Amino acid sequence: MSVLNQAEIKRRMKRHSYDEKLVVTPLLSEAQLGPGSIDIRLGSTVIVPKKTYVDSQDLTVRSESHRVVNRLYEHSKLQYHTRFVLHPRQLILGVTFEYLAIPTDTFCTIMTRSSWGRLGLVVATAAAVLPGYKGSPTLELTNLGESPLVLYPGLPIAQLVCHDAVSEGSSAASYHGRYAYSTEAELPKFFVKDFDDELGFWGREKK
Amino acid sequence: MVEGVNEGDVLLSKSFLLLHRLQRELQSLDDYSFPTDATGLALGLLQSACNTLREQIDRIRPNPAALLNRVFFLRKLANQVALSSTTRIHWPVTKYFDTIWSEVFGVGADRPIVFYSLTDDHNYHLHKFSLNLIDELQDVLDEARIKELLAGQTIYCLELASAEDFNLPLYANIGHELGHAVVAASRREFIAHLDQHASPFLTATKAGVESLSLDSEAKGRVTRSAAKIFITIAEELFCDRIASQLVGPAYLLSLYEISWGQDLTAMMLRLPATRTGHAKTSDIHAYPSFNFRIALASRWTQADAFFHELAEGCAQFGDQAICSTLEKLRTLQIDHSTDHCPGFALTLEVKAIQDIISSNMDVLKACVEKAVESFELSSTDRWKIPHHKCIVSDVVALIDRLNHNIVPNIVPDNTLLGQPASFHAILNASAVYRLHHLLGRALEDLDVFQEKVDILERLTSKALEVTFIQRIFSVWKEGVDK
Repeated sequence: MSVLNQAEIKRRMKRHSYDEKLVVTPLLSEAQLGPGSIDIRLGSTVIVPKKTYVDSQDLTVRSESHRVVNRLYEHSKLQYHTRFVLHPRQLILGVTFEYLAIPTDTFCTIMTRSSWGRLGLVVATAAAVLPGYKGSPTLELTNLGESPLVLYPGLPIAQLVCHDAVSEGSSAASYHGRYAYSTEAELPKFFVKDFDDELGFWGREKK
Repeated sequence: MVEGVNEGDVLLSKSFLLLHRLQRELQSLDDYSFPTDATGLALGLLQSACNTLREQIDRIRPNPAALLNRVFFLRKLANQVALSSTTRIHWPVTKYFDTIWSEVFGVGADRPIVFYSLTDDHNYHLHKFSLNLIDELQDVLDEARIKELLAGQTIYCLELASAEDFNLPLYANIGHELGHAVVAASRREFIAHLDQHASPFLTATKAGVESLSLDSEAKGRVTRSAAKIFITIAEELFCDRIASQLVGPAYLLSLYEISWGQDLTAMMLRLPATRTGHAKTSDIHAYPSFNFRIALASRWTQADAFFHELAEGCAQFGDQAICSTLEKLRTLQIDHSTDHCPGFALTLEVKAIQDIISSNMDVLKACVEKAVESFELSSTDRWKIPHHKCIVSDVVALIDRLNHNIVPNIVPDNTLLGQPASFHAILNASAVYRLHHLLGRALEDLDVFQEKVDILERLTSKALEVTFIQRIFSVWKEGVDK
């Protein structure tokens, strides 16, 4: 699976049909296109985990997975040009400013831009954007540094690296998962697909 | 009250406690989540009023019962400010309308401003927040302090329907409410335009009133009431006209959607009466029928041509379902010839007003329509109300994106970045696509339908947000590049 260079990224972005086109929108400047990646920005919604009286999150219990969400997380709409602080070792869920549509012949990964990475910022731990995905991916922002980091919505903190997903002439199957068409930071969604019932099996406590 | 206790002192103490609690709550409101800056100004005015009231309670010793009621009223206003939050109100849309508001009224300490809040009614309302506050304080504060508080500023509160704060095409109704502010700022000219065109209606009314078996004073009240109905109907239609001009067919579609579940042929008259059975002319209000409003908005937005051209454009990407929806929307030019005035009249005099309006409905509509169009011409010029022409090809391009579940923010132009879509085009594309889902629902599962509408709402919200930022960024970038 080779990494796409700038020329190939442009070629895929200029395809006519939306079924085949690589969409990263809006690009505020052509300078966002690097030699082998596209710079992407921080969007305006965040989910901040709270330290609360809830003892833990056991997501193998269906009822608990829905019930504890409001106790554990706070959703916020950030204003542009207004700062927010990511403290050392804190995890915040953010979202990309851009909306992506990945064609079935392309696979992408989200990585921290190197300058931000040197400050200790990690933007994504689950970094894969699968072929056929459409939406604004949720970012898992963490500060691994020793001092608080000031962030603003709109800052280009991440990059999208695109890979060719065609193997022996055939494209990958298209993504239709639980996170399709999201536009804001989203919490994990358990128990929305049949195979999630398996969680209950593994989490079943022995009497 | 308990024997030996001074009731006035008790009420004063309770008012003081409630006022103190209210002040603390106002202090805790976070300006971080205000959709526009005007909410902060409304909050500031309310806080000043509370502070002044608290400082002056001992000195002025207002009527205790009046004071307690005023504190309850201040709490209502505080709730309106507290509901002014980006948690529920979509800030890119309100900021967009704020720009129009500033273009129309200008910017300055003596210019009216508006902040956005929510109402439980399934409707949109505009009211003078600052005036309501001052009116309520008349009998508990001295006039000089009240004038000092207000400092010449008019602050409006525009309440959005809270049940549908996520339905962004419905925000087109903000354009209608802006119309009310224009009328309030030029009431004299408005009435003058109505005078020029009201003669046929007034003549017909006069003839009808003369034949009534009422005394001359009652006849006078019926005539004045009919004139008041004419004015209020004209104002509502003028606001529709302004919204049509500002937002285009998206306003027509929002009006159509908000009319669902209502009596479409009813011209609603609010005709209160005094205890003696006389009509309370000053409190009369009237609303034109939805069918009449939709018919006029359809004409004013040139909806037939718009939907026809849109259908031709959408046919190019081969979606027959959307073309079929657009053909249905062309039939929105509704016949309003069966309009009527429903309701139970409490008194003979009120019944007489209702009968006069019912029997002169056609002439009333014809006169009002002419008056509104005439006033619109002069007010557009005077207030520089923008006229946004809807570019059909842009809306087609955005509908094509929505059809592929892609955010409708860019009109492709063979460049890498494309052209940022206008607010107007996004709202119209989203409004059309929403109606496409709603009208076609019968064909599919409710869960599938709900998921489709959810996706549309998310994509519209994202498009309006990112294009708003893109516009600001482009202006900044051009400045830097120079």
